[in-house]
Amino acid sequence: MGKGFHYLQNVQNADGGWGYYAGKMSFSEPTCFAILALGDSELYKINIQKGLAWLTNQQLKDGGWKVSSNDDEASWVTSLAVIVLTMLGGTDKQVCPWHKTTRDLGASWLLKTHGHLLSGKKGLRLNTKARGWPWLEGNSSWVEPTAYALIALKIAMSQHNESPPLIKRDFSEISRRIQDAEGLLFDTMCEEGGWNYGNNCVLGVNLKPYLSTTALTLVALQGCEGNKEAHKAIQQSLNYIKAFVNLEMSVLSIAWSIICLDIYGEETASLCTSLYSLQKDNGSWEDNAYLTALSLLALKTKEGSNPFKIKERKPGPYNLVFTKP
Amino acid sequence: MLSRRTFLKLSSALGVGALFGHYGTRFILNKRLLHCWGPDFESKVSDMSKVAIVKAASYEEDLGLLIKYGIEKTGFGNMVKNKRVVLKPNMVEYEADYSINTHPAVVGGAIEAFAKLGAREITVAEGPGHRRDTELLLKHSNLRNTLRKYDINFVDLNVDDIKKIPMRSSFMGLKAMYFPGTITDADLVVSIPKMKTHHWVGVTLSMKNMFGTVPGVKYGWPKNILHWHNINSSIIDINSTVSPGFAIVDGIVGMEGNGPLHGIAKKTGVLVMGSDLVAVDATCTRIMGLEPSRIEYLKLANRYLGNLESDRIAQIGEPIEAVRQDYALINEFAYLRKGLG
Repeated sequence: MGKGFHYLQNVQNADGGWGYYAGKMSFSEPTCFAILALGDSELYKINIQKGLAWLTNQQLKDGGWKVSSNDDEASWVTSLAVIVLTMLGGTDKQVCPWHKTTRDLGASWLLKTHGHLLSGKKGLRLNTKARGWPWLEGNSSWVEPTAYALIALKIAMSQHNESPPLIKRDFSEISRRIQDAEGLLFDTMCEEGGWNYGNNCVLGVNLKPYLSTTALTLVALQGCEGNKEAHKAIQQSLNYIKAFVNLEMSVLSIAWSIICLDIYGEETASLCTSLYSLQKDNGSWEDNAYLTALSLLALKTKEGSNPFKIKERKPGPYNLVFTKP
Repeated sequence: MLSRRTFLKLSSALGVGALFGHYGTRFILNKRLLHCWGPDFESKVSDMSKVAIVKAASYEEDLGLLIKYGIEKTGFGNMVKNKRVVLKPNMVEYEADYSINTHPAVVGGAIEAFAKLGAREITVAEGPGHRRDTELLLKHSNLRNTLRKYDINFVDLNVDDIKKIPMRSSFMGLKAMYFPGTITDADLVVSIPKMKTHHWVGVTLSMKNMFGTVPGVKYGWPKNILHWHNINSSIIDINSTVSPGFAIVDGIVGMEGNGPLHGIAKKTGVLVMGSDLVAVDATCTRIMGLEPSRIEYLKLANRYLGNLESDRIAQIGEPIEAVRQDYALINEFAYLRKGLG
């Protein structure tokens, strides 16, 4: 793992952010994951501080985050920024109070943003009632941005005692959005369990689940197991991951699967071995800072560290609607 | 050749009603079009476009030789020297039983052909529309081995550096969009799609393939903004702005029926090439046994981005009728063939 951390340190851009690849422009996603991966190490404190400075500079006046410094509108990466600022604020106080306010404004942006229903598309099976989050404001809800927003809000909720007033004020609104989004995700689950990128059926053809999307979605759905139907769906999707993850040998899929399976108390030792086998001599995974950071986060679960594990979830009155295709 | 700018100058000097040419008629009859082609848009459509149809029975043939032949026969051979060329295949999903992606052998053939024609630099680039896991797609589609064989760099356009570019037409109603630096900085972008039917727009060929130049990191997976702003409009705006310079359509094995993902493999045995993407796609559509003027985006693009009418396309190589294979359609697109012989 040390080589991986060293790789991340080496490819950090002069502006403090990380690009997906060495020497490329900084983006919010790899920067967020790199900060999370380096997060609890004194050794990389300066890298983290520079990364946080770059990240907070990407926030727009409306509270949302841009994907890069030359972007001009808020989008899905707002969830990632909220996750980072909440995580670091809650663990080692590297995030100053000003950062917490920044995080809080980001959470507020998430609350006012939701996916819209694209009308006139025949052949798509869409739940018109459930609302999740879009990649970009004004678009439809999709699985991945909805999952990231859920994780961000659930983490913010789990630390609500430390949260500034905005989060506290919107507590019931956050609960409502979380339940809405959980309903949307369960509703879009594929027939065999797991999740595709959005719909589970187009023009009568059932779509297949993707491993990485499935693992991310299950991370977002943690805390739902108390509901009988939700529990069944989660188990079905966990079984899908366990059945297929070794066949794919993809860094993205294996890393997210480890993070997910660790949360649900499943064995991940052989997957960690597989992930190590895909590490390159330079310490990276696929020469990609995002995949390297994600892999390091996955491997750190063996040391008992999983930043996506939500410590506490207030049980809510679930009213999940399962619409069958 | 009459550019839009020239037309506007002429129309203000003479009065629009005095013009009876193709452009004039179109501007008079369709105010929406007048609005949609931006002030900087200058049509470079010539009176005739050359499109090569080259037979290729299988992916085992010397595709480098066939593609080079096609490029030269369309008169494009001398346009390649010292250019930074970006080859943009169609790589959207991988399913072992489906003919979804541009075959790696066609990409390999294009690499060989453009290298022999003197390209200074060749990059293969794609931004898959559904899956974030581009590495997985490269591996499973076998494109990674092709790239290694030729020692060619691959750029994932979904996470490439992005640049904000003003749109050269505004059918989507957007003034600007972000595009990958690899695309905006290229001297020549070559679209290398698969010949397929498409369940939303009828056919997906070289113009629709340019959706893969829209960066996922900005617009998501899928690139939902393109659906929100109407797929046909999006195809026009992306092509007018990115301006791909050449197309090579993999029609050796295409896809019919419920394309672009769940259709059935259709052996057609052709490569279709040309520098006018509208003419190339119109030709492919005719090979598929369909009427190109019934494809909404081809109709909109006609005479602005390229030529659609058969009397403005000089077919080189095989005649259409010799290679025509009627592609099965889903019911919604049955009208694309209705009444055709």
